[in-house]
Amino acid sequence: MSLKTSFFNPTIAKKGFKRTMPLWLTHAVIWVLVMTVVGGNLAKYYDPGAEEMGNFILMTVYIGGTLMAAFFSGALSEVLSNYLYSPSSIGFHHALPIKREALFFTNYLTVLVVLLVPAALTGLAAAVVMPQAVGGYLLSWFWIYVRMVVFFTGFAMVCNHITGHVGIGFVLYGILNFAAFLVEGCLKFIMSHFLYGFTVGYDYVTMPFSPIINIYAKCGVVCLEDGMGYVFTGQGYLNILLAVGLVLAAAAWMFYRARRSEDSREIISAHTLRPVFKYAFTAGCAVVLGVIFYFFFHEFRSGDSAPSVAAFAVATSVGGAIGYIAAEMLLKKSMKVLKRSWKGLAAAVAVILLCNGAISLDVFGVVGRIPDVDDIESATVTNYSYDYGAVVMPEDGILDKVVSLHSTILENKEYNESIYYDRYSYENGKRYSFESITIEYKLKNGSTINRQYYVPLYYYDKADVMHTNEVYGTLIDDIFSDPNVLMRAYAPVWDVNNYYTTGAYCDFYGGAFNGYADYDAAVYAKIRQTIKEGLMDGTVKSGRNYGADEGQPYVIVLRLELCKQEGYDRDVRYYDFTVAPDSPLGAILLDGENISGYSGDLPVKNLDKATSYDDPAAAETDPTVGQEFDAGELDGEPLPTTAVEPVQDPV
Amino acid sequence: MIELKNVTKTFDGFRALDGLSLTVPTGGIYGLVGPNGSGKSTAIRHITGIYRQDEGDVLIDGQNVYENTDIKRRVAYISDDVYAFLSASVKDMKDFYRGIYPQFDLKRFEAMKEAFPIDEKKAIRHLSKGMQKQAAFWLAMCCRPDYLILDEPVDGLDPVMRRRVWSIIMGDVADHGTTVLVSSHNLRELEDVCDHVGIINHGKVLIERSLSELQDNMVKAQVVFEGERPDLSSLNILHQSAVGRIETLIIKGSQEEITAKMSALRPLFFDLLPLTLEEIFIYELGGDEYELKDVVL
Repeated sequence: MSLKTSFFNPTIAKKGFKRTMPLWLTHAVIWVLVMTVVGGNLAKYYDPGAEEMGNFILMTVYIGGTLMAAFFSGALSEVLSNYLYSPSSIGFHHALPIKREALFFTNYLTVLVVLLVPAALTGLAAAVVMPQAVGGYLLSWFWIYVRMVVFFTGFAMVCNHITGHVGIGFVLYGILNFAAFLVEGCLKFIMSHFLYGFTVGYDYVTMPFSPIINIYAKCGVVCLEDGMGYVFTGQGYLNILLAVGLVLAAAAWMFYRARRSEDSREIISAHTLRPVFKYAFTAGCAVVLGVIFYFFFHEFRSGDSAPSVAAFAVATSVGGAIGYIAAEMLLKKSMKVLKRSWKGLAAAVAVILLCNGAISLDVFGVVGRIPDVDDIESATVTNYSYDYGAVVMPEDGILDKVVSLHSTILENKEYNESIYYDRYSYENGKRYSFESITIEYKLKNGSTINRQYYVPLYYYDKADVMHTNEVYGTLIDDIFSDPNVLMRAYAPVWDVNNYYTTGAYCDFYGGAFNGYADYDAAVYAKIRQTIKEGLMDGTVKSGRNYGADEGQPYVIVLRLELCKQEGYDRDVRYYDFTVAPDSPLGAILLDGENISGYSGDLPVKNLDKATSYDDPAAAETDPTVGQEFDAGELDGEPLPTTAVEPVQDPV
Repeated sequence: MIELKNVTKTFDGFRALDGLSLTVPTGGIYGLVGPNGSGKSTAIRHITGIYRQDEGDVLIDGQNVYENTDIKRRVAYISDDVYAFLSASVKDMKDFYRGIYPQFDLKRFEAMKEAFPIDEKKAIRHLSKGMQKQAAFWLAMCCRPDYLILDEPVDGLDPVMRRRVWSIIMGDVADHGTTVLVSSHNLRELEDVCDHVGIINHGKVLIERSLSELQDNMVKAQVVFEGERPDLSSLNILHQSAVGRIETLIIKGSQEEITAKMSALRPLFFDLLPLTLEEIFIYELGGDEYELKDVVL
């Protein structure tokens, strides 16, 4: 019985199968090797359980399947569409009594069938050689792969049907898979490099337009909470890809319907997309080549020097001009394009220079933007000198100090920049230590502002004595030492119901002392409670401050290790404090009754009960000697109950 | 019947067809001639449904051709640049055509093996240009088309094969009423086979007539007058030349009319010579501004 539909032609399909045999056979062989040979060996010789086989099956489609689907869908679409790219072949095909819809959908279905039927058969074979694997994993494996193939085939078909030259569709497909990610990365570099204080996150808003990267970023294989198997995350995203793939296939069909046979050998056959291609290519080259040129001809040559907008303007203009001329050459299929295109080229370069000017002059007010105190919901200030971020809320009453710090930094922009590139010299009589200060505002309208600045927070005089830069020091200190900020910063230390103490250790430095001590679990609660009092009265300071304060013969640096466990998730925190010896906390830490073991010379009384780790015999019997706490030690084991010491919060 | 009515086609601002109209009667051989770039191949690509016209109608038996599979199934097309799938042999292409053209005549394919001495298992792309043309004819004729569209069909064929090919085509025209549209530069060849001719230039058909009409409309005369040449202004002389006292005149008009007028002038010698298609085109259009040097080989 013959097939009566105008959307499929069996003769074209048969020809397609035959023509693409080397490609789909390779694809099938790879899957067979991975799923039956590798998987079969794994099942036979290592005898993993169903869960581990499931992990293997899902990982193959996550790691390898993405690349397989992307490459083979693209390559097969290219081969089956290449009749569009020569006048004789397109003439031959379009003169045949076959409608375009039949040519298109037959080729489209051919790609799907030659990729998915062997995959399905491989899945069945895998079920035989991997009896441990439950069928659900293999079904999941196949369904994941189906959605990837449908998406990438639709994407490749669009690329193939808007281009008119052999190979260009495949190249365009390859470029478009990564272009958005690359361009956004370059734009982030530009923004953070030339807009003072502008910070960029690791999130890429254009990631969905870079599907290969996005699959790896959005999806994954994770262990179930009960540990009884693995699951592929990102099913929702793959469903979206499936829908997008079908939409792209429909778009490819629309482009094919509108395509003129005479446009074979054109680089871009879809006339409406030619200006888009020209200007997108120009802009892309301006950004990407501009960044590359800037690096090679400015940054690498001048080393640690100030960003140069002028150099970048030249680099982007050259990159943009190359892009514009290349696009014109490709579209006009001629090397001689300058004579007719110089006006467009000049306009493109002018736009690029205007953009550079806009960045330089901060036309959009990005650099100078400081929110009004009344608009701020919260602000977080971070500085490497403090091992916590200072979260400031309106009720703390110090948001104006955050804003003041921000405006002070901006007011001193020229000063900061002028000394940044000479910071290691003593030319000004001082050697500056630049520190990162990040300020993150969460505004009441839901938006955020993130800024990061490198400011000369400290400087050393010629005697190499460190001083705090008075321009910033007071403001920073006011923010970080605010009681409310401290309470928030060390919330886990006070949260004794959820965070257990897993260790408390001290280092003693200065004068005649240089040693180490760890403390009994029985004293953990007392230490935690006294830290709070010390932070309030200033006898305990955040972080490790090795320089002893005036009048102190030595310093005590306390490390507190806390852990919160929820199911199999473990949240481990480390906190360092510098403790004044004559403080209440100092008294606890200097009492040998509280110490379980020590080494070196300590200014501690009643040490005779503690174990000395300097004694080799004692060291042999105590396996914890010289070891740092490692959260991994507790993997899979519940925390020891002796570490639980809830105390009432006195504050 | 093939009809093109006021068809226009523009490529990047260049008007390749400029209101072109032509009519190919059913069951005849229509020769489409014109200089390079005149629009012959473009017109043919519209007739075969490859190109979509910007304006106008392209009809076969009154139906639009573009995306009309019922019509295209009755049309076979041999382009000037023969296409075959990569590494496909005549046998492979036969199988392909059988799937596409339901009326593909397998018996005829076998019968034509003798006419076309080609290794049917050898890749067509590895054959010589002439052999590729033969393969294209072989396959096209087996599709039993009602309409055969040929673009520069016999380029590359040796004289014996040309004769054989034309013999097969004319046999189909005579036996099956096949309609043939052929474009060519070779006017002498067309003269032997065409019953209708259309000349095309700058995307327009300039003249479209049957060959006999064209030949009836113009005569080539040799004449010798005694003494001074009489006044010939009553004749529409398109071209004249003389060797000694013998004048050769190309005169527009019917043979009877010109014979009567000449006889009245009492020449010493008067004879009518046959006009070739080439001469008809040259002298018919010579007065116009058309570039004719490319029309004629």
